[in-house]
Amino acid sequence: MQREVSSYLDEVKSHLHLDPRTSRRVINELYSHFEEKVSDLAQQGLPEPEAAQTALRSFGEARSIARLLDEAHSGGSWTEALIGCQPHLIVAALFATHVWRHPLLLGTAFAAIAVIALLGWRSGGASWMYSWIGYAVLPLLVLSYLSMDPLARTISFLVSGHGAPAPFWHIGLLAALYAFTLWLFTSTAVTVARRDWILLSLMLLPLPVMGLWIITVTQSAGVFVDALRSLEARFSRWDGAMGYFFAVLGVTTALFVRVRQRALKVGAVIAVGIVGTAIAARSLWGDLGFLPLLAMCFCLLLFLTVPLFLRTMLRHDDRSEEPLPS
Amino acid sequence: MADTPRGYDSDLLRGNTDSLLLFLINERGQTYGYRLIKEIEERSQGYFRFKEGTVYPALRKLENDGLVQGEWKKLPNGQERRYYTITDHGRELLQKKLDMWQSFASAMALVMKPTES
Repeated sequence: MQREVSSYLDEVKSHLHLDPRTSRRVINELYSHFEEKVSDLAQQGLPEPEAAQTALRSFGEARSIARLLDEAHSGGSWTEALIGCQPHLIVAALFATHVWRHPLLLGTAFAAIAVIALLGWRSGGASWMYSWIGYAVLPLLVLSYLSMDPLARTISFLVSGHGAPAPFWHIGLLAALYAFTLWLFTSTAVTVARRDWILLSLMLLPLPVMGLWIITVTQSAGVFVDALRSLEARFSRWDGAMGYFFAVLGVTTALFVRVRQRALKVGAVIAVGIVGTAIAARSLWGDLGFLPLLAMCFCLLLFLTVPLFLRTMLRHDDRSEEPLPS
Repeated sequence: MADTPRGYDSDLLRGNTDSLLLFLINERGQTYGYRLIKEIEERSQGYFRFKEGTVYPALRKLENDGLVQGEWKKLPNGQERRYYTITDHGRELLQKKLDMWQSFASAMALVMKPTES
């Protein structure tokens, strides 16, 4: 096949945001189209390079064909939309019913989420699974954050000589936890971004609010249940706001899975990620003032678009990843 | 989907692409993208010209809607080609669209017939 056709198909592929198997099959179908078309034109007397050029011209611009193919493949069913929004609704329910304060129930809910995320991952990447993955890695991130105290004490001891360092085995265990969390989070993020950066943004959507909430709770009360009880009144108010926020994330995810238009998907994730998180932050911290709020919105925008930069960096590798049929 | 200013509104063709594809798939029993494109061009004597790449997303949408069924088949040269077959649901919809089109065309012809006064 002519080099022009191969590079055209490479370009189509680079603009597709499908799982690798579907992407490969789509390209195979287009490849077989070009093969037949070029052969037909050659039989009509056109030299092969000219036949390839004619075939490309009549096929359409690579980027717009890729967009149409993306749209045609990406609209999930209502069932998929319903499954996709479940982890958000589970977390919304944990807050709304205040059940998150019961370690056993909380642990069971997140274990179930992790198992379903793993099953989704192994089944080949349905669009509903990305919201589940976000929550599946969350317990490790939270655990890493909550277990920083011994590390901070040890660093403080090494720097200033005050206090007592944590035992060596304790530090070793923490290092293993951080390394594993970092590896799991990074490798998952890279794999998801390779498919589509907006899926990674969708996956990361709950993290800023969860982070703000955990920091607020631990700063206010520490992590002990007795101390948490002392903040009952404030928690009741926060729980309501958190419940609403995660319910909105659920609706956004269902919309994301269901709609075909990419612009709508990107708009929904970015808008809800920024506005929703800012509203949730206001209910946790009170009135922030205009400039801090603006700074927070900017940071959130950056956070939700980092996957786009990651995808751009990975694009070069993707082009050499899978050769076209020969 | 239409690419050419050949004296018809491209929206008219875009709105009827599904019917054209369903009709040809139904008639052929089993066929594939390139053959459909070629056949539409031949049967319309070059009147309907597509950006050929847009046929594949249209076929995928028909498949997602359960109107056609796609199946990969290996060719003698080792390549794969996707063949499409109409489903019962697709056949029902095609019949409805054909009836609607015939009624519409008849009504248009009746209205646009010059009066005999």
